[in-house]
Amino acid sequence: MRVTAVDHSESKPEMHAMRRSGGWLVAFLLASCTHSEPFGSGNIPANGPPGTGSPLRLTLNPGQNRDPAWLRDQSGIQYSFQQAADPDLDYCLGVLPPAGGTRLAEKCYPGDPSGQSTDALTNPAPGPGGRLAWVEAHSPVGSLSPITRTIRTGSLAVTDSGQVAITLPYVASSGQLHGTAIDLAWIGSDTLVYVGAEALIGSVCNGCKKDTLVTGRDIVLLDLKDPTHTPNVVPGTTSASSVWPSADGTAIYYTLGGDTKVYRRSLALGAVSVVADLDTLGITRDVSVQDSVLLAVAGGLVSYNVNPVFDRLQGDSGGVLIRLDLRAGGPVALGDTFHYYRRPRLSPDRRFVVTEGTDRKTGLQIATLWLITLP
Amino acid sequence: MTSLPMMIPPPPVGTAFAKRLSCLLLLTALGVAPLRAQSTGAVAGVVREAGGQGVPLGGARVTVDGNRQIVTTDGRGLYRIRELAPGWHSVTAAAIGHRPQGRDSVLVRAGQTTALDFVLQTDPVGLEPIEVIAERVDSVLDPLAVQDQQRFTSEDLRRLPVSSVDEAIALSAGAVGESYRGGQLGQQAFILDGLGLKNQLDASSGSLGLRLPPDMLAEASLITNGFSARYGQAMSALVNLSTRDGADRWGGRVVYETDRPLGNGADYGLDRAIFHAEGPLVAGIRFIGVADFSGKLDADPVNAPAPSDPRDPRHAEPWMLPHNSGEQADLAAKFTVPLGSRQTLRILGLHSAEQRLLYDPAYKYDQAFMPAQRTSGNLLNAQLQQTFPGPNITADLHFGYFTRDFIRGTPTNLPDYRFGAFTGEKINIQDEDLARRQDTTAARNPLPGFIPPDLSDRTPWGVPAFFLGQASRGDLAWNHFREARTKLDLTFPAGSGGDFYFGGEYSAQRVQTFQRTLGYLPVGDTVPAASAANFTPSAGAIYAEAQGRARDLALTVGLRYDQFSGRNDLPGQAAKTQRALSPRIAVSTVLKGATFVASYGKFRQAPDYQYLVDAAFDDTTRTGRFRQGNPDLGYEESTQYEFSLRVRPTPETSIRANLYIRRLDGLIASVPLGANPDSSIFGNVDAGSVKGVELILEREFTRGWAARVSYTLQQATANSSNAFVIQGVAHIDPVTGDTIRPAKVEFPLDFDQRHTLTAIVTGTAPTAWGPSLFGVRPLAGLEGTAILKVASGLPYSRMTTFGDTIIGLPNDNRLPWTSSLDVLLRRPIKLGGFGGSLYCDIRNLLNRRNIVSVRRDTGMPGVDSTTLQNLALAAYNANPGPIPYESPRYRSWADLDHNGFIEGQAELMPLYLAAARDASQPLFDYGAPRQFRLGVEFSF
Repeated sequence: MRVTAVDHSESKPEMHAMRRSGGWLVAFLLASCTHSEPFGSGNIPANGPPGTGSPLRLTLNPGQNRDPAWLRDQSGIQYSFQQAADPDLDYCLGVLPPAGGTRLAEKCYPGDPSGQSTDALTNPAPGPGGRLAWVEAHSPVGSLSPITRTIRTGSLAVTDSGQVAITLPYVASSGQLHGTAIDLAWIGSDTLVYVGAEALIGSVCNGCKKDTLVTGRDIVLLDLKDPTHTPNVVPGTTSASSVWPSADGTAIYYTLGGDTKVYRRSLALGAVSVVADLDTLGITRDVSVQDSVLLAVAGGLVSYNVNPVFDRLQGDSGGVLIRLDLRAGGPVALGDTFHYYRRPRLSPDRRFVVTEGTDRKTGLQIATLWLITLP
Repeated sequence: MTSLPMMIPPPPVGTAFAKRLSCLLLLTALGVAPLRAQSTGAVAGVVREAGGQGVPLGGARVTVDGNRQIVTTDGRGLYRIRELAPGWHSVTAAAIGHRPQGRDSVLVRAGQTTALDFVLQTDPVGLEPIEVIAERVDSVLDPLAVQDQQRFTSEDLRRLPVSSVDEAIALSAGAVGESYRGGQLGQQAFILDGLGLKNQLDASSGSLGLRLPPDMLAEASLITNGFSARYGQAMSALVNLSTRDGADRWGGRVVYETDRPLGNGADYGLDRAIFHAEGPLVAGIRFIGVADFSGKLDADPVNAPAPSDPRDPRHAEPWMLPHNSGEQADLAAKFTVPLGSRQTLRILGLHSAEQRLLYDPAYKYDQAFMPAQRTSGNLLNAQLQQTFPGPNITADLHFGYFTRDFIRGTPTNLPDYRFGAFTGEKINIQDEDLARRQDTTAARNPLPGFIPPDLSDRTPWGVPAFFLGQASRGDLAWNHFREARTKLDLTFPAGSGGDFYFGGEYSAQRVQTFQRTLGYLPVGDTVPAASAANFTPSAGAIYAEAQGRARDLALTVGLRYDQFSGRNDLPGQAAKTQRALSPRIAVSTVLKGATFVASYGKFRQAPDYQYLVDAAFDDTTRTGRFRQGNPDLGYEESTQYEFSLRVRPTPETSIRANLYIRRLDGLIASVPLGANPDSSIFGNVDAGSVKGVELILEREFTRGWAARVSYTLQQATANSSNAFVIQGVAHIDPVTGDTIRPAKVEFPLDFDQRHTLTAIVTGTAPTAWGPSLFGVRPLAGLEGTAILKVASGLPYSRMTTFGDTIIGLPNDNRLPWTSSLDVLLRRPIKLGGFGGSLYCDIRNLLNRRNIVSVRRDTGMPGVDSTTLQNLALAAYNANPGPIPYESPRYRSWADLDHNGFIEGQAELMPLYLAAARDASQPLFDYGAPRQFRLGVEFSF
């Protein structure tokens, strides 16, 4: 953590002098005096929430703002943001205050000061004890294909480049190629869960600009205590599109490509159940569950097909944000009608949802973060 | 020696001069010459019988300090006692059938002979000795004093508003800081109790690493001409330091001074404490020990104007710079061990440690990443003096062991200030162990813990420009120098009128260096590999010197042979041994009441060993430039001619005038190397000259006051202004745009200060003086000293805005004149059985804002509006993107349309302008502000 100038100057002299030295001469000389200190620095007051109401736009960054995740104590929202003003278009990790405002912290890849490559830190997963997992990719500026991509664990400290949990791509035991990871999350303190996905270069529609198309392949458990760091594919999760671990870490909730159901699988027993089916609302994905409250995205700009070469592909540019109480009641749409949403995450106190949103009207695929206050 | 005729001025009217010269040449031919040393002094004179004839008494016995040294007069009644430590001595003369006479306060000064004659009354019954008042010692007119010595005793330092020996020496005529007579830094050597001491590794850019606590000092003097052949390692001056021997009875003092009660604007967080004790131990051993601790929260305060923008944190508190603290500890102890009536062993130990946080303006808002440095030095100095009674030969055997350790880099821990600036802990430097291991292999990778700095987002302006954060600059430098030096001085007296010196010295040294720049990047095309060196030079010298005196004429002739063998760690390449002979000669005489001295000398010093190794620069990302060390560098040399005239218009006043010409040759400069125009190698290629005149007017301390005014006019030029300026520099013709490589031409040296005036006035009020207040006279006994310093500006080079081309010739421009007035007031006090004083030391009393440097592109401390605009525009063009609300760079007051973005030139440019104005604050272009020191002193 940075040691600020305030920390520095506050440890300065006079209080210590009076407290520790105790010399009569010093006391005499310093009595009834206030002593000047060097000017402080770097203490710019943070800006508060950017407004009121719900949904509330949290990010105005003109680049992508993605992968929101609540810190475990709800003291902030971890996310990744693209530095659109920089020619290399790096992605950094940031932490926003829980109600929005000036970022509390940032972590960018420090190894490329001259901007020779695009360096992306994405999919942050806050873990226990301040641990952090993220996906890190490096590619030449302008290239859509990364040269290296890894999942790393470490901390938010800028100087912490982290430990490599696994290097991507790899061929999973399912025979699928996992070139990246989405929905990265912790189960306990030693296991990561994520959707092993393939990053393809293509278009989600005819005439659309080519982009990286990320489509899920399998859900993977990665035991960090295992020295081989072997990715363990969860059976029955082929073409998974999202995953969310239960609070106690005994089960996972997940969705599958082209499917409208939300599944729950007991990790110990392997028992699978359907906890929700949003069939009338369309393809369901981006599930997250807190207690009995389920959030998911359904319908919207989503496509699913089976390609003879690339197998099952699901393109996703957001959909309708759905809240469902698993104990009672039907699905409720959240947010407004001007945006498609992705990756909604419910706050630990279940009062807020932070989510990616894209503008339905313009069709621009630039994601911003939104905060929705639940009734 | 062929230059001797040039040294001798035209003979005066009559033949007296010719007679003197003949006598002198005869004495020289016979090898008979009086003694001349610089770390010690002598007492000489004649013992006569009282009465009209004043018959010289041969065989009379003259003793010093009891029976510590004993000599007998020759047939002409002449005597000379040599190798006396500077300070007060008791001298007694006795002859059979005569009443002994003694004087208990004879002041002996280093490098001088104190004239002391005795007239003994006949006394066949042998009465008790009587104290006599000897004739006044006149160091001004003494024709034997051929050197230009400007002295300061510990008592002088106590009266002056100075805190260190260095500051006192800097008050000497011809001194510009630590540059003497136009020389570059490092062209001086320190002589500590007779043994040379120098930071041979990087004296031109680094400190000695040792500081002698003023309380240890018997006498300090600056010698700028004709220094004895005993000493080498210097070209421009010798700083001669003599330490005190412990006293015969226990005493000491405790001093504490501070500026912290003075509040804003005068409080720089200064504390200093001095503990001093001395006295006899067992078996006649005497001891003196001094501990001198000082700390400053702002160790390098500047008198820069406050910024006008209220958002700048310096606006409200412009006094103290953060992360600029420093603390020093200097410990010294000396044992004087009598090993018999004619042997004395002196052992001096000295330890200095300093650590500094260094303010870097680029990290103004991220101070944790500013650099820090530590320097430490240790010295063990032993001197064994033996007098052989038969031939009365004096032998001085010296041994010294000196180490200096330096490291600079990124601090891993910010200090926890415990008392003022004192931390009581060491500042650790990132990857210090790697530097000490000189692990250049590991250093090919990014250094552990280093990441690149980023443009700070913690500035008031938010915009990504000018200020750095996130990490340090990635520099790491370490070096270690150690030296064992031994020296033997033999003095052969040849009667009372001459001495012959012979001796030699040898030093074995070790140099270790490590340097890595851009430590957050791997070594590659644009990042130079870490440079490291580990070699063991050695140096030796022998010398012979003779001085003869005939009445008022004296001649000193010396010859010194030096050699050094430099770098020997290069595979397959033996270190080349460099050799040099340095003759020195001085003649002095009295002409019509004035003492005239002419001297000629060749002085040589081995180059800084840092020039033997490669140097890497942190601008390699831009130019890839590199400076290659040269293991075959030879001596730098100076040839000096000097003429001095000393007169005493009244008994209290004296005038000294020195005219000198120094020819410099073989100075280190950078020579272009290879195809890259910025790559070069160090070479002995620079040459130049210094011409000057010094005028020193003194009024000695009588009737309660004294004064000294010194003025120096000098011109110092060379082909290259310092070792890092490429010799044969090219410049662009402003009219044609052609690149011009000038033919051999001399530019002003960096320390070419043309005019320097220093006036010191000191006085003491009578003990019953001033108004009475409740029975106390607060002004009684008040001591006061004022120092006025006025100096013309130093030269500098103008550069283009891009900083890569010199406008005109190097050092073609001058800084403005500077001046300061320093005052010390001291009021003696009595507290119980203790004496002491209260004092107030004020530097730069008038708070004059001296400009000590300027921007090379503008010639001003700051930037002009056009440059400012250009800086801001360039920064804007580099980062024109909008700043969104959630960014730490967002400043709501700059979002004029309140749309959550700072965007476009209208909103961003004011921020870039403010940042440019902030970043170009010329903090260190200004000298020190007014500073106070309130002190209390107790002596026991």
